[in-house]
Amino acid sequence: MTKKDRKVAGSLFLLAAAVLCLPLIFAAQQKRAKSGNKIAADLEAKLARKADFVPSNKSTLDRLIAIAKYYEIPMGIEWMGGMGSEDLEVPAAAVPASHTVRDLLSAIVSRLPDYQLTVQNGVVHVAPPVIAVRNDNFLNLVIEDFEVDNDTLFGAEHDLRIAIDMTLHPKENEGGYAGGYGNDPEHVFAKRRFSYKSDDLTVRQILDGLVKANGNALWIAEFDRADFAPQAKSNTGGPVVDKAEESKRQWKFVPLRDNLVARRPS
Amino acid sequence: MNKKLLCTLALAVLWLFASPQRAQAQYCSYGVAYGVSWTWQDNSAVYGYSATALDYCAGLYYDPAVYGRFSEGNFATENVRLLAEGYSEGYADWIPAEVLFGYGSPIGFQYYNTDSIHYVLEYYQYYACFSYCGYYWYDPWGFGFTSGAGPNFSGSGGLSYWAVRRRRLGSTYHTIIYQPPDPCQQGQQFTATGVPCTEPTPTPTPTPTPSQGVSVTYTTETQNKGIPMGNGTAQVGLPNRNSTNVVATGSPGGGTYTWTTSSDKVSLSPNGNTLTITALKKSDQAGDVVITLTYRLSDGRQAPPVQIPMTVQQPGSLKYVATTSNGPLAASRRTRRQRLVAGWKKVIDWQVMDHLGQPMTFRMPVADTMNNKLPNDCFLGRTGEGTTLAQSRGTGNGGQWTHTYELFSTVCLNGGNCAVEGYQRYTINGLELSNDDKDWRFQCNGIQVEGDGSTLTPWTPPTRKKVAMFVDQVYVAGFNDWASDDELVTWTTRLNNAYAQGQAQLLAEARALCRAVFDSAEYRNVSRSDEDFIADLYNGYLGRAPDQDGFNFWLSVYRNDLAQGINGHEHMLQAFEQSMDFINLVYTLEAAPPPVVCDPVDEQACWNGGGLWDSSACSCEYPPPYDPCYPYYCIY
Repeated sequence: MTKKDRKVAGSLFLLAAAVLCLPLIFAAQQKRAKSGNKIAADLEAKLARKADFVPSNKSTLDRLIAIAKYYEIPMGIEWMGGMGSEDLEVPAAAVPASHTVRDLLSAIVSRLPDYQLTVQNGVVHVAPPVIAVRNDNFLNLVIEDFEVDNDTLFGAEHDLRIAIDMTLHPKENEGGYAGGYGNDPEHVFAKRRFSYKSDDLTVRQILDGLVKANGNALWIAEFDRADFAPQAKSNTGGPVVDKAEESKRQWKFVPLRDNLVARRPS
Repeated sequence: MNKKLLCTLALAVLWLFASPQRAQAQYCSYGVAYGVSWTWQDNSAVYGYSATALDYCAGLYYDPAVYGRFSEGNFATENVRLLAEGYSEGYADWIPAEVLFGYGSPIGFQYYNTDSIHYVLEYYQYYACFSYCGYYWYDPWGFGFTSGAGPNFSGSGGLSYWAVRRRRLGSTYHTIIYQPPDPCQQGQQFTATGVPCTEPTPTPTPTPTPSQGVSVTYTTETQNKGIPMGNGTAQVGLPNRNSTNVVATGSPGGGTYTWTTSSDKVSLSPNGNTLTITALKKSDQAGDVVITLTYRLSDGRQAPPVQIPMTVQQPGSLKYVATTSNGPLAASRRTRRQRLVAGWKKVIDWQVMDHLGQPMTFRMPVADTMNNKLPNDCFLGRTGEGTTLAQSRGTGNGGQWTHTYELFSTVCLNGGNCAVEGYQRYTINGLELSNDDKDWRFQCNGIQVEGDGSTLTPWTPPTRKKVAMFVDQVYVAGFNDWASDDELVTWTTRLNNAYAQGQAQLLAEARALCRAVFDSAEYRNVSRSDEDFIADLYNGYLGRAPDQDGFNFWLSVYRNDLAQGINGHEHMLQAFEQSMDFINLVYTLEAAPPPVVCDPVDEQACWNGGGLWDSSACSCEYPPPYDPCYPYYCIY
């Protein structure tokens, strides 16, 4: 076989391999896209429902949670609390009477200065964009790998906290970890186990992923404006974890349903 | 002449009566009048009583008066029948105005009412002053008093007379339902007219109760009738529990519920058949808060009072219930750049107990801290994650709490072992359970938590210790903090170099390290007690907590030095650095390079600049430029 023949044979082999592999690659991508599309379609259907329930809670945050719970909408809320927070009370009359769930949410969020409602990847987000995109917002921290293997949402939350610690302070945690977490054994989050895996996603994306994988939760991250105020440079080195920094990384999951009964027909 | 005189006299009299000035005794600013109406039954007669009385101050200027009526019938449903009425006046604060009624033929279960209108009699003095009028003046009974705003008239030099006006103060009334004497005979349940006997006698079974068929039952939130006690109001997360409800059910319905207690440990907020009990103080013993529940129908019948013994429960401890999971953690990487680790995981269910050792079966907020002892041979940091209040976690409604304990360490790989000790401290319902710290021992081959009933053979670390760990040991003992990166690199290098030169050099460097910490201005500036100082030396030089005998001895030596004006600090350092325990420890040290560290200034600058620090490459990554919608799709 001449050099030319070998070249032709190699090209034919590559072509044959491509013909065989491409359908498999596309099929995998389609499957992933299908799953994502289904979640997005489910959410769109929920948002397009007629809003037959208007919460009467006073606090806006409570209203958002009540809506998420009633219509079982996976949601991620980034909320500014503390001094100077705008916990505005939106009067019930301001909410359109015969519109969709999306209209209802929009009406509530539009009354909040600085906040924005977005829908992405099957999760409704309510957040002040100015804070949401900041680099010192821990939700934008990229976690290299994160995996939940047949665990509860409580376990997943704990693992995520450790992953954040290890990402921010790799040297302190290089030896390992000893500790733990607790929960209500009767809580609905303790009743369902699931698996989840991610590579190089932000904490926000992982929280979204956990909410969707669990199927019965929304997440809330609460910030204080002071957390984002300019601070003097610290000159205290050393490996001890800054507790104030930990307090800036507070989030919690809230169940959409308090028990694992069948979903409400939408 | 006579005509003139008569005319003058007539004009004088006319003037006297036509143009007098009027004055009233000054008001008593704090005078009080009391009015009462009361009706009662005595055997087969009913009585009524109306009265008005004045206190001392009001009595100086006024007299009491009362108009009373005694009637039969229900004001709310019919025109009542007047049985008697009367009016009476009293005197000052000495004699109240009173009217008493009696009626000897009352009707069974009929309403009898006493209603009263209460008055005071106000006195006025009309006077005409001709020449001199004195300062004091007198009431009609001869009692004098000063008059700041009234007339300066004492009776000489003028003429005066008194008038009185009755002023209404208000009214009161009181009603009873006449209970006729029980006409029932032995064994009779109802009277001839069908009215239940008030005290039926016990004849054939079942024995009727004195409640005349009226009964009341109640339900408490928890089986052991607890009232949860929290510490104030939670600022974040799940609210503290400070109260509980008791719900009563009366039969037949439609009656009224009355809740009372004499206990100062609770406050009651009744709302119909529901009572909210708020805890104020913890109970001294179980059931020492007794709530009395009565249920009364509108016809006067009532159920026998029910005593409800309750207990104010303050969280006191966590009692072990069960271990639901216990096993090894397979080797894995927690993040891609982290080293491979393995370890152990254990899940334990706990029950919240109160200060009296009874279970608290309420949902209550829980927080806990996980505190690792340093140094440890698992190379772990100071704290585990624990649970914060902001996570809004709480016990189940039964007061149970599940806790997952886990250890993973590089040491646990390939059958290795290490141990870390520590303790867990809970805060439940706002109260820190510092008396119930759960001591634990985590090892690669098991986890033991105080009270869980498990056994775990303590792992004894090898005697040889790496120099980097020794550096941390000294720094943690002296400053309660790890050595900074610079300090760690500097001292590890010095000890490694000395190690290569021989034991004498290693010992000298180890002593220098200890002195760099315990002789430093930073350490001296921290006000440590004598006891703390000795304990620090034990931990720093010997890497262990002091034994009691040794601790007592060195403490007495140190104090004796100070008392005699000797430099006790220096004496103690010499004593510890020359001790055989310290020398043996130093001789077992093993050279090891310090961990690779990045420049902390670079790292800090990265974080300050909004970047993400990659410590494995000592580099900083900056995210893409600002995009107001990033990473979302904006719909507005």
